[in-house]
Amino acid sequence: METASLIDQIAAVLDGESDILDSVPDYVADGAGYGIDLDGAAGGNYC
Amino acid sequence: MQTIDVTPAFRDVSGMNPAVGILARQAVGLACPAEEILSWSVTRILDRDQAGVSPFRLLALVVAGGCGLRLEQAIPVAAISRVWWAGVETLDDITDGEFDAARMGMPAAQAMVASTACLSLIPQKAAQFYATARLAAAWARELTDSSLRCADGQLRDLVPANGTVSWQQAMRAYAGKTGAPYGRDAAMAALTAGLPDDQVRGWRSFGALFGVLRQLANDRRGDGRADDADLANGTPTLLLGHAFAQLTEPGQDRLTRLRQAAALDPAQRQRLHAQLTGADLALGYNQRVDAISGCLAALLNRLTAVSRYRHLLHWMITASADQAKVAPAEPPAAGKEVPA
Repeated sequence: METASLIDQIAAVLDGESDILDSVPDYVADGAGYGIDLDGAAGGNYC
Repeated sequence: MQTIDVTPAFRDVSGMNPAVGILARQAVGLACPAEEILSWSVTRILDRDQAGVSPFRLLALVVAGGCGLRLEQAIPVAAISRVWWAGVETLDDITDGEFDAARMGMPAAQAMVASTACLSLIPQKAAQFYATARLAAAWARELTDSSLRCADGQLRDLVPANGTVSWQQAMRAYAGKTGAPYGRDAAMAALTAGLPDDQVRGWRSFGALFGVLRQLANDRRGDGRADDADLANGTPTLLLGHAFAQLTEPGQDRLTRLRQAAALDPAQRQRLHAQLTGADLALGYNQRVDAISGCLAALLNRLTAVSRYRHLLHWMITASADQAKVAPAEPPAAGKEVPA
């Protein structure tokens, strides 16, 4: 999917016109996870 | 699976927090040189701002790093954002009846006036001090557009709790009230890096969807509590939108009645929470959270090359998704089934 198309697709998701479940591109994970060696790094559930 | 340690990048970004706080206060002073009471009131609000130190509120710095800037170059964006968020949080507390005049050191009426200045006037004026005329004009457009979208999103929250909630209705509210400010911060960082319009649009889109994810994480803060503000206020959440979409008409009617009762009765709030987090609903809802996370990761990899800050942004996505997911409720014990 082209970047511009993906951005259009996200705009439709944010407008509630597209279902997010139908909008995930063929994202191939790079095989990595991401970690932080600090307790509570994510902090509270602030928006 | 390889695990990339993003601790050094996280420390670099978090280490900017004091500088962001100092510049935010300086921005208030510059914007209100003769308005002593206003300047004092806003500074006091900044002093009491607890959410400002959240690492996710420093999105502008991380995006700037991903765009090739030194983090210091985006501190003004983060500082303006901090002033704006401090105002919004205070107004939100006043609206939700959670404003603590004693802690804030001022009555609600004073905080309301000061907070309103945080939303547009102070950020707009501060932008003129920290950017060239051309960049300041571009920042001003982002600040204005996002504040208008945020106001619209907040108004979409203020609906009576006597009907169904659609996913679209809730998503539009989220995209406005939280998506727009995060989109603004990402776009302002990209503008600071001098990126072309199409890439700025991409970062704005990334920030907006990330903001929705942060709102979903925020939604989980009251889970299981009798004083869950969202359930008490009848806020049209995406979890409610998901539940209504999955239920048949009789189920929707029961959920509508329970939602109305929950606005008045803490015990009914816990029943409503148990229903919304039942295993079936939780599974589908969490799939949607994963879908948002997947969209963000895919877009991120298109917007910027591999770097320590791209890695940190990936961590911010996955950490937010983890916070946003619903913990499925334990099924009711035999004989104690939650009445529908």
